[in-house]
This record gives sequence, C-alpha cells and structure tokens, in this order.
Amino acid sequence: MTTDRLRRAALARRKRSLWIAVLLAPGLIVMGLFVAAPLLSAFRYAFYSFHGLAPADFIGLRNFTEVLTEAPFADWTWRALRHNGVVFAALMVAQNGLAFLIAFVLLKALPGHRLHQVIVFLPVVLSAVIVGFLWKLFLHPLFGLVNAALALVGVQGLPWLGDERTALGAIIFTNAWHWVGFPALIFLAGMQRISKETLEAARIDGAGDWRLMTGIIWPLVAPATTIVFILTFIGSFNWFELPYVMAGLNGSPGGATDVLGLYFYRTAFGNVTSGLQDFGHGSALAVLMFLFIAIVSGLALRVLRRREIQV
Amino acid sequence: MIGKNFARRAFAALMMAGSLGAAAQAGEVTFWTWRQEDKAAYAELFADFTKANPDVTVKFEAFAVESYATTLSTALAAGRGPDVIHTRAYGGLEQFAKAGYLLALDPKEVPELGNLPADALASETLRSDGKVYSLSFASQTLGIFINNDVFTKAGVQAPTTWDQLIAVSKTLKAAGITPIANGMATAWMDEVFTSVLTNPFLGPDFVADILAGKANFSDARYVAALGKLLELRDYMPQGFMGIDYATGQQLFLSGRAGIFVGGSFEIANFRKQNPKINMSFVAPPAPAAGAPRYVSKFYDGGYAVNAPRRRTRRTPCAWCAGWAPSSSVTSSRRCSATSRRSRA
Repeated sequence: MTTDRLRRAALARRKRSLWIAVLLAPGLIVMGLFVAAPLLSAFRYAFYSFHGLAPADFIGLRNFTEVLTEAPFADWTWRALRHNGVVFAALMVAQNGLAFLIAFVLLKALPGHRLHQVIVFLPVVLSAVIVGFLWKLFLHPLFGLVNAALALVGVQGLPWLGDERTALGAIIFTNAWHWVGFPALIFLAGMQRISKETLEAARIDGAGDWRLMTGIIWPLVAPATTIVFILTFIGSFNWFELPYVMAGLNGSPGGATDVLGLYFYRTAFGNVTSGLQDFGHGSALAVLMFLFIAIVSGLALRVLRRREIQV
Repeated sequence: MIGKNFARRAFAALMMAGSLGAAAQAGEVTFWTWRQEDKAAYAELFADFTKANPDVTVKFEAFAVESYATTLSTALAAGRGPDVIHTRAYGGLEQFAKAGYLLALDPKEVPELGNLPADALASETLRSDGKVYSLSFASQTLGIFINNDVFTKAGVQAPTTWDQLIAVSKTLKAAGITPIANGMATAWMDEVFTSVLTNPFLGPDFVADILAGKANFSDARYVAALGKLLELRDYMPQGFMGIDYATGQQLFLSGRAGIFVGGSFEIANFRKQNPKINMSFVAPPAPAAGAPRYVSKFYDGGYAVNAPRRRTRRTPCAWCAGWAPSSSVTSSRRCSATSRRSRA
C-alpha cells in the first residue's frame, strides 16, 4: 500500500517535471537560438581574422589588442567609452535625480497627482525611434520648435545636434525626457512602501521636506536606487537607438556623439557609404562591451546590495 | 453553382501558377539591388532580355540601402543569395570578392569589359589578384546645381571662379535667398561637399602625390584648400552644422536656396520631386579665371555573379552585360550564346 503510494508520488513528480520541461522548452529554444547561439558565435568570431566576409585564421587576442591599443581603433574605442561614461553620469544626475524629486512630489498626493503620474510616465511607452525622430525635428535649426520658441524671446538658438559642444547633451536631454517616468515610478513604488508611521513620526519630530527626503526616504529607498543604478548603467553603455536616430552611425558631428553601440555597429556591419563589414574587430568590441557591462554591473550590484542591508 | 465554378477556376489558376512556377525555376535568374528607384528601368531591360532569351526570366528584388550589405552578406554566408548581385565598387566590392562569393569575370566570356575605361575596371578589381569581379554600372560626377529661376530673379549667373561664387553668394544673400543650400549634419554628404569645392584647388598633382605616398591629408595644400571652405560659412543656411542632407535638398528644390553642391545621382530625384525645377548642373568654380575646373567622379558599383550559386546552377555569366543599354542588342545575343554553352 505504502510502496504503491510512493510509486504514485514518484510518477506524479516525474509527470510534473516533464510538464515543467515542456513549458520551458519553447522559451529555452528561442533564447538558445536567438540569444545564446549568436553570443557564442560573436565570441568565436572575435578570435578570427577575416578574409573579406569569411573567417580565415585563428589569431588569438589580436583583435582585442588592436581595438584597445592600436590606431585607429584605440582612439575611437576610448572616445566612445568616455562618451558612454558622460551619458551615464549625466543620466544618473539629471534624469534619475529629477525622477527622485518627481517621485517625492507625487508621494505627497497633491491634487491632480494621478494625472501627473500618467503624464510623467507617458513618454516611456513611446518607441525610442519615434522619440528620437520627434526631437530631431524639434531641435531642427530652421524649422524646429525649440529654436522657434527661443526666437520668440529674442534668443538665436544653436544648431543643437550639429554643434560638437551641444550634440551629446541634446541627445542625453532627449533620453531623459523619454525615460524620466520610469525611475520616477520605481522610486515612487519604493517610497510608498515606507510605513506612514515612520514618515509621520519624522514630521512630528519637526523634520522638513529636505530632512525627510535626505534623512528618511533616501536611505529607505535603497533597493529602488540599486535597480535604477544598474538599469541606467546597462542602458547607458548599451546606448544605441537614440544616437542612431539622432546622430547617425558616425556619431555626427565629427564623432562628438559616438558611443560604443554605434562604434560596434558600424565596425561590424558597415555604414551607409562604405558598407565595409569587419566582423573580427566588431565581435571583439561586442565581447568587450559584454564583459565590461557584466563585470561592472555585477560588482555594483554587490556593493549596492550591501549598502541596502546596512541601512 | 457559383461555388463550384469558382472552385474550378481557382484550381485551374493554381495549376497554371504551379506549372509557371516550375518553368520559372528552370530558367529564372534572380537579381538583388539596393536601388528600388530603378525598378521600372530594369523591368524594361529584363523584358528585352527575355524576348531575346525566351527560356530565361529575371526576378528583381530590391532591399533598403542601409541594410543591403548586411542582408547580402548573411545570405551569401548561408550559401544563398541571388544569381546576379548589384555590388558596390572599391572596398565594398573587395570584401565580397575576397571571401570567394563573386566570380572573376573572364574577358573572353564578357568582352564588354574591353569597352570600359581603365579607372572603371580598377574600381571593380580585387587588388590582391588583379582580377575584375564586377561590370561597372554607373559613374557619378560631382558638381554644383544651380536653380536658374532663382539666379535669373536675382540677376546673377552661374559662377565660374571662386571669387564669382563669393560675389554671387553675396548678391543672393542680399536678396533674402540662402545662397548655398547644403548643411553639414549628414556625414557622407560632407565628403561630397568637401570634394567638390576643394578639388579645383588641389588638382591632379595632389592626387598623384597622395597615391604615390608623397603627401598626406595634413599637407599644406590640402589644409589651405579646406581653409577656403570657411569663407562659405556666411552663405550657408542658418545653423548649417545642424542642417541635414534632406533639408538641404528641400531648400534647393523649393527655391529658398540658389546652389546645391551634390552629384549626378541627384538629378533624377530632383526632377521627380519638383518636375518644374529649372536647374543646371555645372562644374565647381576654378580657383582663378582661366584655371581648369576640375570635376570629381567615382564609380558607384557594378553587376557581379554569385560564384557558389553558379557552380550549382550554371547561371549564364555574360548575360548581365546585356543590360548595358548602349549595347543591349548585341550583348544579349552573345549572352544567349554563352548561356547555351554553359548549359551544354
């Protein structure tokens, strides 16, 4: 009787694992075919020299040393990496800082806060291509809204996307406009989890908005900060759609907006004029980007998680 | 009743389609290009070709210009792709030829190669083996477009020297017209703009020195020629650093600007976008009166044969020569002879 029951339980377990395997299979197959396989082939290509479009000889780490240390690749690599760093820092301060403030204001549940919540989040649902195209039109030196508005108050606007000093900033601004609602939502969710008693106790003790925000809320939304930091980091170093739409594959003007994503793409797949494809160096760049992002976000995650526990 | 009739007709149509499909496979040649805009012209050429070679039909497929190279290289790597490939010239050809995807053209099989100038052949030659892999389809000339109506209204004439260009620009600007339509926000167009306006200052001597390795692009002559471009800043659209190619074209086509620096590849597009435009395409201004007005030109690409596919399908090799409109009749005859030979 008991063995029968055990056997039945084992059978049920096996049935259950089979069922789980069947449910997982489609996802696994798709991920394997379209994510893991290309990733592995990029790893492989990074170690080969190319004879035109066909892989020729195994050359070890030469593609890597060339993109990191030799002209002309090295200058482009470091310039692109520097720009990615600027993008990350600017987005952390401007986009996510603003998002934190917006979340704090929304938390106060002032009249109309629900409508504002929707408005702030609305651009996030638009595609990056649409946002990039729209802002490219807004920033157009002759027909753009921005310069037309400036002209009304007697200021002559700049060619925002054509000037080396303002082009990257203009694209970062567009990115912040597009995405600010997302970190705001994460911060707001984090803030809403803080117990009312804690906040009220602080108020009774005489804490103003600033003290409340910096002394109570900021440490208590640490898990939200971790998520926002990591997502912004990955997004900034994989940045592609917006600069592609707004500045083109060359990172116009004159490489002032060149970032790793654009640089990798035009190296591996060629740009409009030349169509020259260099899979060896392109794959090496892709592998380096992958390793850099994986390692730094892994480390950051560890540090930030520890900080969460401390507070 | 109606239902049955419909079913019978549908079945008949299906059979027709099936048999046509089978027949087409036997003698169908596929052609890939990035130039969708040429579809109508190719349809005419292919019809003539099929008239002369009733057993061969041609299937035209065009792809977006930005992704053409990627689509093509992916297809070729997978052992597929068209029989005949529209290729880019120079380095864009080299990567395909080097990988063994293109058939080296034998001058005996494609005698039309003999009609091409040496620089056309050079643009389709793989440097490492000296063989020609593609039959040139177009050479593009770079120069400046003049909107004649705008010029007449402002009482100026097409400039022939640099000083005249500046003088004309001043007059146009005083009349409230943007003299030069071009902006700098489209990288590849900057190459065209720079090449058109600096070449008259540089001339063939500088090109020879560059090719011989005696000069580079920090040469005093080149720097001086680039410096001349700065004089044009006042005569370009406001915020020209942020004006892209498409905006520049529209400024010219709408008559808001008088001059557009570009290439012969614009002509058909300009005429299509504004059929009423009264424009001239002229050589860039000379550095001084009486000096030669040098014009830049390049080869845009050619027609090549997919080598691995030919080995399995025996595509006639010389047939693509039949498209060259100037020699279409004679070469299609020769083509049919070759295709018979290759099928034998």
